[in-house]
Order: sequence, then structure tokens, then C-alpha cells
Amino acid sequence: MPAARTVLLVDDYPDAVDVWAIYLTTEGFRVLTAGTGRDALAAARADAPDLVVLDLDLPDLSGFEVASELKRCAATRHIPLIAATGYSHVAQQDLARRSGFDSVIVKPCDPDALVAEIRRLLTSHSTRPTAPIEH
Amino acid sequence: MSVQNFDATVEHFASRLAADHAVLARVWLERLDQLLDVERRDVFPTHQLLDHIPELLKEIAAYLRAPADQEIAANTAVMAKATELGLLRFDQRASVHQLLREYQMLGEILEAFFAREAAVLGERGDATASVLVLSRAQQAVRVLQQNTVDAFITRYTETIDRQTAQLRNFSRLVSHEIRQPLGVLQVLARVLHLREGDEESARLIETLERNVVRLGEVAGKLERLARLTRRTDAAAPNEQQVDLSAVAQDVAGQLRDMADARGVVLDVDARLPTLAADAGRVELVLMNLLANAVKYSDPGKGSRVVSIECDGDDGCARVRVRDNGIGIPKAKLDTIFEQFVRAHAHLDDELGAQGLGLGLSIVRESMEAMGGLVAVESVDGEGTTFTLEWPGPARRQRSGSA
Repeated sequence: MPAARTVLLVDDYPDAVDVWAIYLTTEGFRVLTAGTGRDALAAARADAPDLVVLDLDLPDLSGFEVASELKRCAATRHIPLIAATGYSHVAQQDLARRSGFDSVIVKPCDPDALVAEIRRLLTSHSTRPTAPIEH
Repeated sequence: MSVQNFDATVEHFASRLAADHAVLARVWLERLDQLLDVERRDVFPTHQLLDHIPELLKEIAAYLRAPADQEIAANTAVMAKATELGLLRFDQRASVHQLLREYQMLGEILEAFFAREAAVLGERGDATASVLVLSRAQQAVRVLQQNTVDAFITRYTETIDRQTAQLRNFSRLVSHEIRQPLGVLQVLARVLHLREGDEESARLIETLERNVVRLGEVAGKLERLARLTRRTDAAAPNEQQVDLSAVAQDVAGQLRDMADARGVVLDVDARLPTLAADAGRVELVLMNLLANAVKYSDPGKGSRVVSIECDGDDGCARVRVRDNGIGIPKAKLDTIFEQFVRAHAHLDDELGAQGLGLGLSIVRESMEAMGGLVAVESVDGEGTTFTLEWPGPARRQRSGSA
């Protein structure tokens, strides 16, 4: 069995982070969590997750700021990003699709659908860089 | 004193009315007392407000002396008083019916007063002047009544509009606030589902999941409705060329499973018109109508068909959504486009159909937002036909053309 892939879940709603973490763990992922944009950046740099699911409405930095910061750094640039947005935020969904996110999911999202999307992105991003990491 | 001429007769009525206006107002109030099931002070709680009727009577008296070509509406003070009366009575939750009744009483009191004064004048009065004075007073009462009722209805409409806006904001808020906890419950239900447990737990978790799904649908519908009403307010329509056949095919595709499960054939005319409209709204309308038609198909019929077809000549953007389902009882046809009204709520279990009664109100709002219309015809037990009509010209698809 291959090593578990690591998913970083970022959401400021603790219950959501909690249940998603359990579910994704059940589905065989290693799960990291963060409740703010800054924690998300720190976790991404420290733990090099294979994928980040990023809520766009965070209390400190916006999801867009977190994403651009991740894309700016060579160490984290390759990590596929899924934006999670509210149903009614149609403009935000459009913006996310056009601004570096690999995928956009609309919350509340069917658990299977998110898992399928994570697997799809992990497969298409399966080659990881071996270049030395610099900050 | 002998009154022999026209002017003197008019003056007699005018001065008598001016002198007696307070007495007549009291008579009016006493009669009102008998009509009301509440205390008089609840209707006219202060002395200032009690002034309305005496004031109107005084102004009517003055009006009797005014030149023949002058309208009472030209007297802004009395018109303002009439308006004030309408607003006051609205705040007191009176009805239009009550207002009309009050003005009718005022007319009757004036009539009796003029009859009495005419008797006092007897032979000395000018008969033509008496008739003219009475009709002038009645005319004044009508104009004032109109003004009062207009003010009442204007205030009423404003209140309804404000309440509608509040309701819209409320539904938006509700749906939005429901989303986050709902998302958690959804995942939680799945997590629990995956865990080993006894049979009863499994059954309870299934119940949880089912209800979470249902809540999600409620939130979605509330959101669509709130968004729809908001878009109706927006001046800029999101118009584009919409190929109805393509949209209908797409919708039919989405409903395929539901239709197959009920043995319903979805028949989409490939030559539906193309028209300028909001594609999202068109899809919403067709989705709701086709889903309804499938939902309320008649299990008792050998062949169950839902079709969407052209209606009328080339150039007319009109289509029909027709089914041979269970139909809608005549008595319910008038209200089916209203929110939360469902003609077949009692059949939910039998047909496996559940709903909120929002679908058809969404259809009508969408069509109206596009400047179009929706109409329904139905024969109970035989089937239902919805006719959709969009404004402006349509291009008919040429079958076989690229």
C-alpha cells in the first residue's frame, strides 16, 4: 500500500474541520488542519502537504491571499489547491477558477465528491519536484 | 326673513352647516360607536384626531359658497386632512371597508341635515339651489373619501413591499446560516455511516442522512428564491440567445433517472425556438416544470408521457409542457403559482414526491422576470399543460440545418 497522501484542510469553522478530518482519514488520507490563513501557510511550509483544501472566507488572510502566497514560494508552488466557497458566492467561484486554484468546490459539498476531486488532482499532480527547496 | 333667491338659499345651507359642523360631527361619532366593537377612543385617541370629521364638515360648508367651477380638491388643507385620516386609520388597522362605511355615514348625515334645512326653508327656499347644494356636498364627500382611501392604500402597498423585502432577506439569511452546520452534518452522517455499528444505529444514521439531504434541498430552494427575487430587482438582465431545445434536452437528461424510475417518457421537440432570454432562468423554469410533470405522472396509465413542444406559429416564442399525469383539480388551479402551495401534498407517500411548494412560484417569478408569462390548463385525472411565452421574436429551429 502506498504511503498516505497528506491533505491540508483550512477552514475557520472548527466542527467542519473536525468531521472532514475524520472522514478524509477514514478514506486513507493523512490530514493536517488549520483554522486561519497564517496557520495554513505555516502548516504548508512545515509539512509540505500533497494538496490543500482552502476555504476562501478566513478570518485573517483571504483564501486568495493564502493561495497567492503558496504559489509565490517554490516550496509550495506545486501543491494543488482546491477552493471551497459558499453556494451563494457565485462571483467568488468565478474569481477562484481564474486565479490559480486547480479546482473549486461549492459548500456544502457531498463527501464523496470532494474525495473524488482530491484523488483526481493528486493523480494529475503525481510528479513531485525534487529540486532543492528555498524560501 | 324671506329667502327668495338662489344665492340666499345657498348661503343658508352653508352658514347652517358651518354653525352645526361640531354637532353633526358628534352625531357621526355616535353612529360610529354603534358600528364599532372597540372603544371610540381607540379609533380617535386624541382630541387632535377627533378634529378630522368636524374639520372636513367645516371645509365642506365653505366649499358650498365657493364659485361653481372650483373643485374641493383645490383646497389643499382639507385634502391633507383627508390624507391624514387615511394614514391614521391605517395605523389603527382599520379596513378599506370600514373607511368607506364611515364616509357613507358622513354622506347620510349630510343628506339628513340638508333635508331638515330644506324643510325649515320651505317655500322660501330656491328648489334648484337646494338640489345643487346637496349634490355639491355629496361630490365633496366623494372626493375626500377618494383621497382618504388612496392614502390608506398607498400606505398599505408600501407596507406590503417592505414586508416582502424583509421576507426575502430573511430567506437569504436562513439559507446562508443553514449551510455551514448542514455541511458538517452531511459529513458527520457519512462518517458515522462508515463505522461499524448495530442494526439500529445504522437505521438511525440513515434517517439522519435522509433528513440532512432534505434540509439541504430546503436551503437550496430558499437560496434560489432569494436570489431570483434579488435578480428581479436588478435592472440589467442577463440576456443571451437561448436554444430552448438544447436547454430542454439538457434538463431532460438530468431528469432521466427520475423519469425512468417512474416509467415516464420525456419527449423534447428538437425544433423549439431560440430566443433572447436569461439562460439560467430558462433552465430553472424547464427544470421545475419537467420535474413536476414527471413527479406527478399517473401510475395508473399504461403510457406516461411528458412532452415539450412548440405552440403557435413561427416567430412566436411560445412552448407547451404537456403531460398525461394525474392533473390538478380545478379548485386548486388558481393558487398553484403561489409560494408554499401544493396541490398534491396529500399524495406525497403514494407518488414518492415531496416538495416545498416553491417550484411553481419560482417558475412564475422567473417567467415574469424575463417579461414572459406562464399559464396552466389541467383536467383532473387526465393531465396538465403549462404554456410558456417569452416576449419578442423567436427563431424557429430548422430541423436538419447546421
